[in-house]
Amino acid sequence: MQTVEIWTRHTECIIIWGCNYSAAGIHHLRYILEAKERGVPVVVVDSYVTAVASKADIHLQPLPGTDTALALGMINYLVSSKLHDRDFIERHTHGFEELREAVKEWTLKRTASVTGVPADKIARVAELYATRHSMIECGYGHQRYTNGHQAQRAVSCLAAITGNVGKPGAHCNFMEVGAAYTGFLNSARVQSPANADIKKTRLISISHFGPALRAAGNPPIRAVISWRGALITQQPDVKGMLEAIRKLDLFVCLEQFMTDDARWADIVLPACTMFEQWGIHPSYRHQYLQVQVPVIGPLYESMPDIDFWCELGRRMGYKKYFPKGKTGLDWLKELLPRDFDIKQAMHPKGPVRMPERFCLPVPHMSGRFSTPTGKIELFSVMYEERGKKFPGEWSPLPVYYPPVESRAGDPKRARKYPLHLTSQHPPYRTHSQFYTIPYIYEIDGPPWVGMSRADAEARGIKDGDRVRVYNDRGEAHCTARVREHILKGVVELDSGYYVSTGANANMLMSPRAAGPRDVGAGIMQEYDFQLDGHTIPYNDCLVEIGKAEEV
Amino acid sequence: MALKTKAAFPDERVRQIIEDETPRPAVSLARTPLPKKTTVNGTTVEGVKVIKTACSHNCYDTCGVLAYVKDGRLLKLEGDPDHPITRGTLCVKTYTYPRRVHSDDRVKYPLMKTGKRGEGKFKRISWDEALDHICKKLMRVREKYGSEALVEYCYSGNREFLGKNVSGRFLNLFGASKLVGSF
Ligand code: SF4
Repeated sequence: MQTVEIWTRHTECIIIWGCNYSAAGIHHLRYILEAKERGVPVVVVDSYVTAVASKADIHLQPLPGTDTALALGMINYLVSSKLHDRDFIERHTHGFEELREAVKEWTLKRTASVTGVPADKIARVAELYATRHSMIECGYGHQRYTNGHQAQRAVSCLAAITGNVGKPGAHCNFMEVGAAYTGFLNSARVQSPANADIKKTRLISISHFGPALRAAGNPPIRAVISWRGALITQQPDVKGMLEAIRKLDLFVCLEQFMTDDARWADIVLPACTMFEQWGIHPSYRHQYLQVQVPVIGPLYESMPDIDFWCELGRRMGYKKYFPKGKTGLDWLKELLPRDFDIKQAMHPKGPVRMPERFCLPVPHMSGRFSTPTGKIELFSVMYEERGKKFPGEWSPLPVYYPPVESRAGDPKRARKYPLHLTSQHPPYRTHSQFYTIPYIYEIDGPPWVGMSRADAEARGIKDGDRVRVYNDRGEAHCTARVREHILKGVVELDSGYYVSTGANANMLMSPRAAGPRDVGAGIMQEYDFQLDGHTIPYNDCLVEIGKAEEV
Repeated sequence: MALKTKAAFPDERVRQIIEDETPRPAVSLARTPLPKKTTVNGTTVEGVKVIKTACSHNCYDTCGVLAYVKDGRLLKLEGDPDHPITRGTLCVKTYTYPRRVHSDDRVKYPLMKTGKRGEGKFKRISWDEALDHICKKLMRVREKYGSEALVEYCYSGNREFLGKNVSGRFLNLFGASKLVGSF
């Protein structure tokens, strides 16, 4: 990931793709607006009119889940207009001829009809992008569909064929999750202590958590400890999840508030907030570090998370590995590189920039890539190889197919449930958190569903009406917000309302995961975070809406 | 429309840009002295302790935070002006955080369910009782089904990494199923 303070200073054109900087990562918005003040054109690709989209010079508003088509259409237009960077392609990419052939079907006309974005707008953005030092900043928006991995591949290919890679201000950033995963944190040292007898166990994919709970047979899953998460609130198919929870022998929840998980637990344990315990949190997007110190002691009877696990460890017979009196700071030192001076990153000295070997400010400037071919693989040899080993959708060339649950992907289902539900992250909450804070509730208000005027009128719904959003899996009750800026056929219901509010979007969603690898119910022996990369297709769901009193 | 010049960024120039735009790694960036007093709801409060920390919410700015503390209470939070990216501001969520920390709605002590699962009926118990109950159940589950019958569910509620690594140590020693991936 190229750092924001560098790329925003040197770029000549910005495309923000599926990323809502006005809700998450808001400090980056200032940098983007500073670039805009310099005269840099800003394009936003998002099915929503987010606040950042409203500030854009051009907003492309594709139908949900058609981002792949949009990117492929741009590639085809650029190649046929000879605006691709032949020199860069020659030196740094693999598989250009195959890609050129594959995108031929994506004429501007077809791209426009699939995405709903006017052809001249697509052409204009493509030209603007290809003829400048251009940056693409990706979020997760376009990835949370069953075809999301191909969308991300297509966008990356667009960057590669225009040579917008590895130069200050010209790169394709996606959520590479930063230094926490590049070896800066020595997880193995903490998790697998030397001399301990640690057996290899089966793996459970978090994006398949509900299906895995239900399918696990050998052995079945009988005990779950939920902490720092909300499996009932945030995982799709709430009914299926509750059915699995009912069968457990033990369900423990370590929490700060009475969340859905806490309400369903056998034992609820009082947890500390981040201000009452030690922690370390390298950012996804920037490279500065300040160690989290406990600024006050644990309130009430709450216990720092690590103290709970250490105490549990001691009581379960692992005293040797959880010495009493070992502090959060002691544990932290074990987690950090031995040559890292933690004192500089601690009150009151911090923050510090993390060592460059874990996070390059301008990655890929060398033109070397850690792929089998050593190049940017437009034709992905890694996907091809992985596809021989595991089932799934491993097309080595980016390919568009409609999201599994969409009007184009499932016309039969769409006759009954014609509205495409997308579920974005709320600006005033972090997923399901903060809803219980009165100040936040005052701004955020009661749950709402956004819909277009045309869809509302067709159903006799007026702005402010109580409505029922439903399909065969469940329903959500909320207030209708009828808005001009929402695409026809698309409705939006923010993620993270507690199930107990009756407005949780996951009541409507299917227990499907998105990503190239098909792992069935999510029980695995082997897993590659980068290649198999699963997510939940939160934007891939069909519903119908009716006035509440009519049903 | 200006066409890109291909050789605009030779290696030396990129290295110069990095040097100009970013400070040296691992060197403290603290510059501004920490305040000793503040105003809370219009009243001046003397003798506050200001502690630097960071926010670990999954929005991922990882803001530099100044925590104003007095007598064991978190009075207010501000952005750390010395943080090169977040530059002295937080977001509305974290500005309200002291209310969350000191909220009366917090889970204050260990609870055990008294009714059926999901009924929401609980009684207060001690940490000792809670841990005893968990240990007994875990032993029984392991005996009857094997250690892989346990799995944690942990994600981004608090996105910092220390906790996950310590839980990982316990779960590894126990032999629990391992939670992987993202969503
Ligand atoms: S203070 Fe707000 S913007 Fe900053 S990291 Fe925390 S949640 Fe994100």
